Amino acid sequence: MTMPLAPECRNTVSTVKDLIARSRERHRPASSSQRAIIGALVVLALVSVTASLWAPYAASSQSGQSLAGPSWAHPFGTDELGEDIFVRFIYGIRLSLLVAASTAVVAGAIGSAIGMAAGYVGGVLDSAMMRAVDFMLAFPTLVIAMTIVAIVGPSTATPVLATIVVSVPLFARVARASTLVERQKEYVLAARALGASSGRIMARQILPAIMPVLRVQAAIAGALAVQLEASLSFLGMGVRPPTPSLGAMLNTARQYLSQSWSYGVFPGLGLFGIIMLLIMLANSMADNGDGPVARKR
Amino acid sequence: MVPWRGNVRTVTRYLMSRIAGGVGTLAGGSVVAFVVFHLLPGNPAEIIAGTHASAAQVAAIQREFALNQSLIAEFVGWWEHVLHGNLGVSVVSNVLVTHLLAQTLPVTLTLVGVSTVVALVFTFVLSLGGLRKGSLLDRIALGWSVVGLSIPTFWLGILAILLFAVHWGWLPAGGYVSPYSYPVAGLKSLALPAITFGIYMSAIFTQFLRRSFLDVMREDFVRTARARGLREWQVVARHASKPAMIPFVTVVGIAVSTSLGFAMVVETVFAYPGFGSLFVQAITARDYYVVQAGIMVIVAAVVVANILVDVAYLFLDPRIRYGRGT
Repeated sequence: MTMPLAPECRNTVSTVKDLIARSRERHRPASSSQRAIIGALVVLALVSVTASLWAPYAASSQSGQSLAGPSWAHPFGTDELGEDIFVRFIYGIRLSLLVAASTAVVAGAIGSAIGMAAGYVGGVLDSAMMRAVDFMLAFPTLVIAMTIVAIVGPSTATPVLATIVVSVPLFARVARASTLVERQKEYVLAARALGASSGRIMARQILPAIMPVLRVQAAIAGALAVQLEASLSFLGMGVRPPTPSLGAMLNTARQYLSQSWSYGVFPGLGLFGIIMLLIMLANSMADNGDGPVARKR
Repeated sequence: MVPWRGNVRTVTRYLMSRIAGGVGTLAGGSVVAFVVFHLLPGNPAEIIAGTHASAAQVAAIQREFALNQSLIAEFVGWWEHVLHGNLGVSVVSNVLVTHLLAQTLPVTLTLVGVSTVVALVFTFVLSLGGLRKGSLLDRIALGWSVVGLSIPTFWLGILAILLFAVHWGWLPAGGYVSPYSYPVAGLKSLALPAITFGIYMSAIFTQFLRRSFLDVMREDFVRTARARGLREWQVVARHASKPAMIPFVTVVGIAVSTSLGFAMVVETVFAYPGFGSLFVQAITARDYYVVQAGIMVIVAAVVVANILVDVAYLFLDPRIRYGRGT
């Protein structure tokens, strides 16, 4: 670009640069409902991450009678070992948020890269990858996740691995569909005319353009991940017992429903709250004109 | 149900290609089931033989199940067994896997069937709101789809047990009674699981049916029908309902086909002796042959449901019958 250009050429280059710049300006400010939901999630994360600093009991300390109802000392009651359900609930929320965040980030990165490459490069790569994605999506996610747990063996990391594996195809499919749309647009042609490499175009032009759609997908994937981890733990295939997980707590609670109602109610309320916040976040981002849902209208 | 007209050759080709696709998926699924069998930790022959088996017994089992041959020979041998109706023996209960499936699948299919009916009833009532955007029923339907999707199914089941079984004592908390032999007790034992399952499915259904009705009601042919002076219910019944069904049928198909997976959660909550419980126990206990057969059953369910959905398209979408469009 150091070579001096004829005036009309310079003009073309500046138009092209302008087009590229405008492709990045689509970022809309978050609406007030989005900010409220994100705020709620951040507060939940801060409260649960700092739990060890302020919680009155440790997660596995027998601090009361077993299966006691709610009281001032134990707002959600106690479990079958006399542990405080509220404290374990907070640690369970922390685990669920961790699963949601790591799935959204890791599966989002891998899946989007696969989908963008398939959509941009096309050809054999595209059909091979999409066949694989379709095949994976045909299976119930819980079955895939359980099979992974059975093979790898249960540990704290396994449910996260399982949720990441089942979420990758979802991201790949969404990223591919959006890439196919963006690939046709003028600013991509312009960047190609300027001699940008495929990798550069994907990273600098297409990725920012499809980012809003990927954000919606990330919120959905987070919600699915929370649900999946809870289901795995509920079936006894998730996090191992001493670590508090909301799904595992409900599995134990199921055996004591006639003795304690609070044990069966509160852990599920936590799951319900997190999942609903994430689904509402996805809906509000989509309503804001970002998602595949809104584009269809 | 529909005056059936169409191009026979197009329809035949369409069905053949769908069936071929299904066979392909089934073949892929059998590879997956086979690979999983080998990736499960432990030596299958040793687990099948039991903890006190001698080396000779293990070797005998390896020979019997062709576990000592090359992977490809083993895969072919396994298919031969499958085609002869031999899916192996459960390590845990020492019962034929085919026998276990024959015992549990009808239980689960009954549950899935009743749940789907419950879900469809909920959905159609709520989706009538989708005919007029912004009406009270429409807003309830929208809220329902968010809340219904957010409630973990097993928590809903626990709440149902707390309320209807523990608190009021109206219905049993779990277990299964065959509704074919004992209608009243059977339906009572089905009620809570079917409603729990149905609520979850209807949340998905409602979301889709509402959106697809809203889309169809904006189409030109609906405006034309209205301009011809038809009443609103006639517009909906004769003109809007069929096209609105197309995306909806797809979703119902996917939901029903993946419901064998979801049945695991619901059946565990209600201690229901169906296929889901069997599969969960098999995975936990590394019951090789049951896991393998279970994966095949799940793939087969997906394939059959997809083919049924494709057949439904034939009735709903004349473009497929005449070979135009799509």
